[in-house]
Amino acid sequence: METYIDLINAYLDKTLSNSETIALENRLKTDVEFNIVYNEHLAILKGIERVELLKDIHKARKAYSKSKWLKYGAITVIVLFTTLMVWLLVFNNGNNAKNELRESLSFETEMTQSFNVSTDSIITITGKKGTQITINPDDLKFDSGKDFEGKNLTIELIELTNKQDLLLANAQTISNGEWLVSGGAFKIDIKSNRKSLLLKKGKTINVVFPKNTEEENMQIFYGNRTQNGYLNWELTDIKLRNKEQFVIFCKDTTIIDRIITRRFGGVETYRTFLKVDTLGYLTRDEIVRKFSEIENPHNQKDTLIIYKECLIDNKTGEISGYSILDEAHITSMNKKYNNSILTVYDSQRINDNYTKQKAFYESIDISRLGWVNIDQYSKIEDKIKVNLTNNLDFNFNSFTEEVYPEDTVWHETYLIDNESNTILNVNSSSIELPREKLFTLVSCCIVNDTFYVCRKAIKFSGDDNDLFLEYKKRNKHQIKSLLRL
Amino acid sequence: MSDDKIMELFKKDKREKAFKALYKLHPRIEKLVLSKGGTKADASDVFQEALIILYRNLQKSDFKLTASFYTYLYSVSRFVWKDTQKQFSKQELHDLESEQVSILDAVLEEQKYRFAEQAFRELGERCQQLLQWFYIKKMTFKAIADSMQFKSEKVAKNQKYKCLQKAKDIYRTQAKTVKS
Repeated sequence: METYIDLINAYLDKTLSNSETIALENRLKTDVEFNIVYNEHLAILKGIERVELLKDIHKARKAYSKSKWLKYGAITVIVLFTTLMVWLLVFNNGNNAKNELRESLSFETEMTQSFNVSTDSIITITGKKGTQITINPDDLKFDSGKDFEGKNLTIELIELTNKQDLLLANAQTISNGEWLVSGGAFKIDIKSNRKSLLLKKGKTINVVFPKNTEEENMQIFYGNRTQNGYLNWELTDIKLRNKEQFVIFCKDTTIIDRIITRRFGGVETYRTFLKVDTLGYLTRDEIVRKFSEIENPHNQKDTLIIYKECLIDNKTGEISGYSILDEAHITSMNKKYNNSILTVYDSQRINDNYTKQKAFYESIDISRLGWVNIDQYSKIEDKIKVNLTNNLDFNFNSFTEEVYPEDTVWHETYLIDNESNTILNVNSSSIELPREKLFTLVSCCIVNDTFYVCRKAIKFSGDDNDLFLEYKKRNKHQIKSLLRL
Repeated sequence: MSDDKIMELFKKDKREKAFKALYKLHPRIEKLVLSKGGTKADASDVFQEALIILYRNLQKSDFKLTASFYTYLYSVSRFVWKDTQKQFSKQELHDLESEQVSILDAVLEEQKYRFAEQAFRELGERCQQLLQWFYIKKMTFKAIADSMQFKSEKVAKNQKYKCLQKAKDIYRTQAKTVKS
């Protein structure tokens, strides 16, 4: 029997020779007993094979069920997500309106200046409003802690130098509830492939900020946006000192009124008054020769101040003001100085440049990127209480993130100091305002998908005051012009 | 997945993937069985049998699939179900066309193999493993002896013979029981 089995196995494995195969097949036809053994053996082998086949079929069924349920799961997730989106879009306009209002009120993105720079050396960039930033690329790292080693990076700079900028960028001047007077707010971000970079521990960037205020003793505050998007500032121990102007008087453009000066000993006497610079009088040629980096002396902001005409204070003998020369006088002066002095047009241009001229603070090292503010605490102490009501009948007290009651109403209200750079948010129906101080109040709100604006100048002197805000329907697309101060 | 791609999987010996692809037809076969009074479990068994018969036929060099997988599996499932229910009348059997006859033959043939499978499953675990390694994995007696810690190849060969004989004994007994 065992021999039969080996023979049959060899036949089934096709390892028999042709003649052996033919002989076996003939035997299967003629030998009944052998045929029974063969069929029985074949059945057992097929039975064993079934076990393996069934294993594979079970595995296939499981895999099919799994993929089917995964497919159903994915479809369910997509359907739920789509439903949620539709619900948010169609039935939840209030929430969208809140977010939309906030987005509509912030023009931060369009105020961003981008500088794409190579990292092969120390980087210095200058913003449109004069901010100079110096960065060593080796001092940067990714949020993950990994050192930055790229060849390029992008510096994003926002310069908010007046209250209009602050308002449009939704940049409040508040430090933990205390009012600040801003001398300019700045945002510095450094990115590599859209990923934000940080300064390594102990490293700093060097910044020269433009001086935009007459206020002195300004300090540096670092800012963060809170969960509701408002800026809050934290005082640092960095103090700002004014950068001393390096003044050069350009001889050819120092034009003095002869009639006035006659009383004081003539032009030559005046020139002694003007010898206050360290370099003395320089002609334009001398300036260009000595300071080759100055391409256009008229436009150089911090090295050249040109007096077109000086008026001397009769009592003190000090320079007390300036006036614009008339054309006849310029012409006569030109003749006198062999046409080396300026024309009226040039003189006017210099005057324009002079008025645009910026002062700067001394450079400082700051240890973090993001929002930086040049501020001082507001000194106003005499404040009076003002109660707010409105024609839309909503309660200002309700509008805090914690107790936000519904999705259909939202407002953003700004209080702008007309004199100094102070921007505040109003989130209460009772506010305290300085006595006899003029503010502009701008409030935008959405009630049931309708956009309203109220804008008015306010000033209070009494002890108990009511302020009624009358909102009017406005087109949301006009929001920027409505915020124009 | 198209029939051509499924056929390609069978040709590349990726039968598990091919079976998985064919499982998309299961709901339709299930519907057939349910309509004939069967349960979902019956339908699952019927479909399983149909897949095995399909696979066995695809292994034959003289077999050619002339219809779609669905049509073939549907026909096979119908015969499997009828055979399970012993519903064939003499007239029905007489009227079968040649293609249907070959399907019925395959169904009846597979029934025998099912008995053999049951006989195999009644063997001890070690016997089952030994036979599977020899007949399915085509392992040599030396490798089997080493893996199963037999003293020699000869012992392994003897053990295999004994297991096989035992399976055949069970199979014969089952066949007699069914006939009687």
